Amino acid sequence: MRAILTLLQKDFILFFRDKTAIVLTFLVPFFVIYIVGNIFSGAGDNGGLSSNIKLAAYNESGDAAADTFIKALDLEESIELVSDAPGSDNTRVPFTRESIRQGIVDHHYNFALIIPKGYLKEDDIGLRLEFLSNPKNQIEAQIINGLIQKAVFTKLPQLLAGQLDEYQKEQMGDEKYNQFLDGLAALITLSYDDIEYDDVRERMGFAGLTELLSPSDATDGEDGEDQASAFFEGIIEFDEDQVFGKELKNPYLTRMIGGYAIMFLLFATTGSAASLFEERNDGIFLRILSMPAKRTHILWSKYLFNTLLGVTQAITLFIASSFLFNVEVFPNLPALFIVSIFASAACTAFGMLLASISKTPQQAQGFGTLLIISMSALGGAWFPLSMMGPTMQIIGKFTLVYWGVEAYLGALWEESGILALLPNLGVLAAIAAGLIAIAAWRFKTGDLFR
Amino acid sequence: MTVLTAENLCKTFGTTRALEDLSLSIEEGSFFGLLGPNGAGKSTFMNIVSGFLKQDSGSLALQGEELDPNNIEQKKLIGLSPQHIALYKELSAETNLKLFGKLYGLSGKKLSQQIEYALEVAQLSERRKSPVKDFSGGMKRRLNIAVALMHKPKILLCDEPTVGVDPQSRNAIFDTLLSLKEEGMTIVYSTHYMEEAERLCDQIAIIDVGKILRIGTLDTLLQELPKSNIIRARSASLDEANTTTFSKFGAVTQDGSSLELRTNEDFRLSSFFKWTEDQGLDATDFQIARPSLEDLFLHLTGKDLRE
Ligand SMILES: Nc1ncnc2c1ncn2[C@@H]1O[C@H](COP(=O)(O)OP(=O)(O)OP(=O)(O)O)[C@@H](O)[C@H]1O
Ligand SMILES: [Mg+2]
Repeated sequence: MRAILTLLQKDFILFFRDKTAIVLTFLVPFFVIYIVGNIFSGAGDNGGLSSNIKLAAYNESGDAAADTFIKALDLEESIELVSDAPGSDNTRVPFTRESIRQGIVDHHYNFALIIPKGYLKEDDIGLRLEFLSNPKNQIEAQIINGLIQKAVFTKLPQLLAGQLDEYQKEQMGDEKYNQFLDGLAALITLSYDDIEYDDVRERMGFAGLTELLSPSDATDGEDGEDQASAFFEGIIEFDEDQVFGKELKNPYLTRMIGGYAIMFLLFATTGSAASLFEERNDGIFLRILSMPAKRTHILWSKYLFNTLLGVTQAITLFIASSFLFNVEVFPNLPALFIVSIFASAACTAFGMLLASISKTPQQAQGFGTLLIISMSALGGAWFPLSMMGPTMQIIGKFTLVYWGVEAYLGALWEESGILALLPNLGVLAAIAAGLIAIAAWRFKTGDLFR
Repeated sequence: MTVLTAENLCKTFGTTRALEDLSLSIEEGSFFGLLGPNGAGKSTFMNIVSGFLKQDSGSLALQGEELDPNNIEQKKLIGLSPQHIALYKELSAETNLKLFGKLYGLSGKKLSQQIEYALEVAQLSERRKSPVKDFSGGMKRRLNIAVALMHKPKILLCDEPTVGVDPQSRNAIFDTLLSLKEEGMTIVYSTHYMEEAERLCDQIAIIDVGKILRIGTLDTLLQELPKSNIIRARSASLDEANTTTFSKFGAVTQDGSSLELRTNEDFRLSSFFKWTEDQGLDATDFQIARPSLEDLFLHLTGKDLRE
């Protein structure tokens, strides 16, 4: 034990002697989180994209109902609507079929929507829209798709009203249909004193009612629009109750930061495991082992040192994210600290194992980079595991990254207490113990001490 | 009393046989030399004794007790000064001594006492605060030895401690080691300089490709050589006729720009000087040398100690 503490003290003395190392220890987490944070924060709900997505829209049908649909898209915060093409001499001219397509070819935008002349299906109830895209960015494409669907659904009544009338007419036959509307209008007129039968009759049918309630009703202006959307929103009402992360200022970054912390820990500890090779090459191991110290003492002292350094760096990373991006770190600091101890212990064990099975520091770095990148991808450090297929989700659970990410999510997103984190911490501890046991065995027999 | 015995030590690295049935015993308080060329297995032996390497077979005993790398009490009896400088380069001489002293189990007053002692031995008291990387080669060497003395070991293993050291520092190292021996320390010293072995060691083991060729005192070892002298002269100081008559004293070999003559059994110094006078040569142009360990090594292996 004494030998371990002396060797640990030695590592700290060496560390504090190296001013550059100290600065890097604290600066690197800041840089990492600054870059990651800028990618994943800022734009609120649009999935972490800081600027709006351009969507070109062209109403070829000239239909008024189709215009309200485009208007609805324009109201989306994440969409920047483009509605005309550049003409000659810096002027803008309305889109044509050709020019809207050219815009994608010329990389002015990646998505375009055409509402074609016969956008209402003739033989059936439904819409036919044309969507042109260059889905370079998967997330953007999904977001745009989602937003178009949303607009379609909210404007569906306006778009389909005429079609529904036609459909009904067809089903009932012209005569019966007119009789039905006549009767209905008469009934309404009877119920109210101050309306004329002709007025009501004119507005019977889906189209008429929709028009009555829609923003194109010029007499009602703004009020009409409000009324309309209130009416349609009223049809389906969602009671939203977000259970976790409701009040977070920076939800996307908060979700991602755990993964980046784990990846950071892995890279940091494999880097410092390479210092084992340095000491070996300097002949320091020979000297230490000629003294009353054992190989396992060297292993444990390095292990402790790197784990402590890892915890320091992880906490620095979280505190940096709090200062730079308002991630709510401080209320959860005790839990984050405890998770960081377990995560760092597991990551360092990984680094030690790597050092113990490699013959040169270059090998350790090479294996390390390969394993870290694949584990991070599989374990959900880069994107949520739920986006992957079921097999991949199971494979992901065999990585230490997965358990680290889960533990950090628990501490930061669900704001769980330590008790709720225990299962994750237990798995991390088991991983650490398993890896370090193999490393210790390899240290006793391996190449590091030749 | 023997303090260290090795019996039939064997060690191979892959296909290289570093030690082959190496047996020796070292007397307490003696200055024991391991003399051999590069790759002879000197460091391998030292590193096995110090507990860094494990022999493939054979046994080692310290004061009659089987040597066990996990036995801490045994390790406290041994100090190793490795062949390569093994110090923390970024740290000062004093901090190095402090850390390694702690590893030997020293603390408190005893530790600070031993730091002073080691700094004195290394003649580095004035430079105690300087980082090792700023030291000269000789200073590093001295500190490399001093670290091994922190705990006053019974046996000091010095693996080629004078490599790359100027003659003055070298003499200082010799004086230190000899005075440690005076105090009763056993010193195991490896080198490929026969002058060092001749000057320092009570017992010398000549070792080559993992095997001990001879062990003994300098005198007993040299007795093995035929009682002949070596006479060296620069080729330029002899003409062709001289050379022919020169060879009547023994076998002449040409070695670069010098001639070397191994004298016959019946060689008489007086007749040699008479010959120089007759030939009109200056007798001081000739060097007459006693046979050395170098010659013995050549005799035993057919090759030079130093390539
Ligand atoms: N770690 C190792 N791996 C492989 N071979 C080794 C190793 N250590 C030593 N050897 C080989 O064992 C033999 C003996 O080496 P050793 O270092 O003991 O020689 P030495 O007498 O100390 O030589 P030198 O005077 O050059 O230091 C050499 O052939 C060397 O190549
Ligand atoms: Mg050697």
